Amino acid sequence: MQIAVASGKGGTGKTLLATTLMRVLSSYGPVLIDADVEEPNAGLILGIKPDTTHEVNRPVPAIDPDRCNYCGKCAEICKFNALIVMVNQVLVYNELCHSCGACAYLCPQNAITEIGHPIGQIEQTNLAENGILITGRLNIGEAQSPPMVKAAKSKFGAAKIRIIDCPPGTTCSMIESIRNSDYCLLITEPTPFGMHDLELSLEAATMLGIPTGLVINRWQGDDYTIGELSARTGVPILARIPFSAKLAQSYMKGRDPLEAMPSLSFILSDIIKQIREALS
Amino acid sequence: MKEILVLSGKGGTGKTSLASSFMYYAKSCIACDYDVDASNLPILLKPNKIEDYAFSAGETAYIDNESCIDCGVCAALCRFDAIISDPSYQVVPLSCEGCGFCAQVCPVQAVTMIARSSGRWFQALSHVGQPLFFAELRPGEENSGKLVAQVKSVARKFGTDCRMPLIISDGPPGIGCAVISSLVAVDLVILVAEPSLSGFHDLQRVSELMRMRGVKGGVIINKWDLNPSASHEIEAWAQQNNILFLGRVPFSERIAEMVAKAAIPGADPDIENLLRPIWENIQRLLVS
Repeated sequence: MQIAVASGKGGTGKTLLATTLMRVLSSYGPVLIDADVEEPNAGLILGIKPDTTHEVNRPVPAIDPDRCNYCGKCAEICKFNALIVMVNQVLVYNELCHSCGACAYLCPQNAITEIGHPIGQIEQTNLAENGILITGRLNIGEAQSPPMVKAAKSKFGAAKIRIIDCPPGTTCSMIESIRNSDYCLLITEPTPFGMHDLELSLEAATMLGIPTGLVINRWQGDDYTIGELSARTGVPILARIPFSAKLAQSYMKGRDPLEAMPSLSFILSDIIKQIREALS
Repeated sequence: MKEILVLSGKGGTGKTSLASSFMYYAKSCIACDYDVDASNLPILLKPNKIEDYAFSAGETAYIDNESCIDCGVCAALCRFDAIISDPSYQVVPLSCEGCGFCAQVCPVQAVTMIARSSGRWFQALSHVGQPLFFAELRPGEENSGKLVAQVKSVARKFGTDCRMPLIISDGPPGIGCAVISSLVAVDLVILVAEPSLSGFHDLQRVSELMRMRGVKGGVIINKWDLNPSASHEIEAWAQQNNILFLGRVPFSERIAEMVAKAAIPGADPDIENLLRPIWENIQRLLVS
């Protein structure tokens, strides 16, 4: 089972929910994938350092000057303007390249090969309490996150339980993160910002046809208008995590949230029970 | 004309609350929201007289099944798993990158590339009469960087034409394409830091990106009193990294209440007492 933990707005508690879900599910040997590759935080929250790290590359074109006759075909077919052909030189802009491979395949002179361009690292940590954390970490200055998300998600595909900690927003990297999940948990806060961004992220999850449930974080006795959204769309509110200054402060310091708020483990078990029921 | 961009790395640290307040104090400025997939600034600025423009970037492949001979070449070559056979070949628009490889290799020209609607951008006036530029990316779309560039380009042109002295921009979270695009031509970045493990970590990544792009920056620590020791650490880090410390904002129920009623937090007199000195530091740093 793969559960994606997402939100539209940032800072609503995705990593809190994903890491505590992992702790509660530890008997199943869960794999947590931190797919927020621009700003990965799950390892920090779990207080662990990577056991192994390996580099991720994506293919970009390299021109063989002995074969190239500067015909310009590659620049003509590249939709991303990653190649510029001059009189006796071809310029390649790796950051614009989408690694589609069309130029290499279609070059009439077979003058293009593909070489690896480093985009980030995959870190793996085997947790003491049963479970594995995979973190995707995008190199600073790299513009495209989705290839990094894909690389992180390609690990431990057969694990019984996979939890995906997603990036905020509703762009292509969020879609890539929640794709192929059995269930999507959308966590939000009961404010105008939280509500606005929740509706957009719900639209994204619905587009992919993923069953979805809502979690309201920092709940202070009022659902704001999230109850109406739930009634209108039929997407259930699975849980309300009460606001707690103690939890906020201890979480900021990287302490175990289940110690600051022991009732959280019941809330999480209940979320898991409701997901199982929804999927059975 | 100068441009100030508010960034944080981590989401939810208070970018929009602070940016909207500084826009309120600046008065003669253009307001921009570069968080094009989760745009929250308009919730506080309550724009009217909205002009709405379609934004199209990139293309999506379309397979004409009348001409398709089911050879499968396109599906075999597509690196984005965007062509499925169900039972006839078709494109999954959400997966299509728009590279056009399939159209190039199709032996019977059954694939055409169609312009893709990526979202909309808006020009408006805020409820206090400030020009406001923002956008809405369609969920799941790529090209957030291009949409940011579009918003920036129209805002800067408007600013030049109307001789506006300043643009204040509310940035997106992260360090990816939208942030990289937001940083173009910016004079000063204001980093809104949250004194937590993850807030500090994310702040360092985004400030490294800012340094690589050669933009100067200052830092504000928001909710500093929730974790004073981490706040001191961030202050020391800023000093070592040539990032000016602009001030600290305590955790404030009042700011949360203002946001809850969709009001600009800095318009409240008590909050103004906290934020006005920080805004003065920002103005000094901008001209230094």
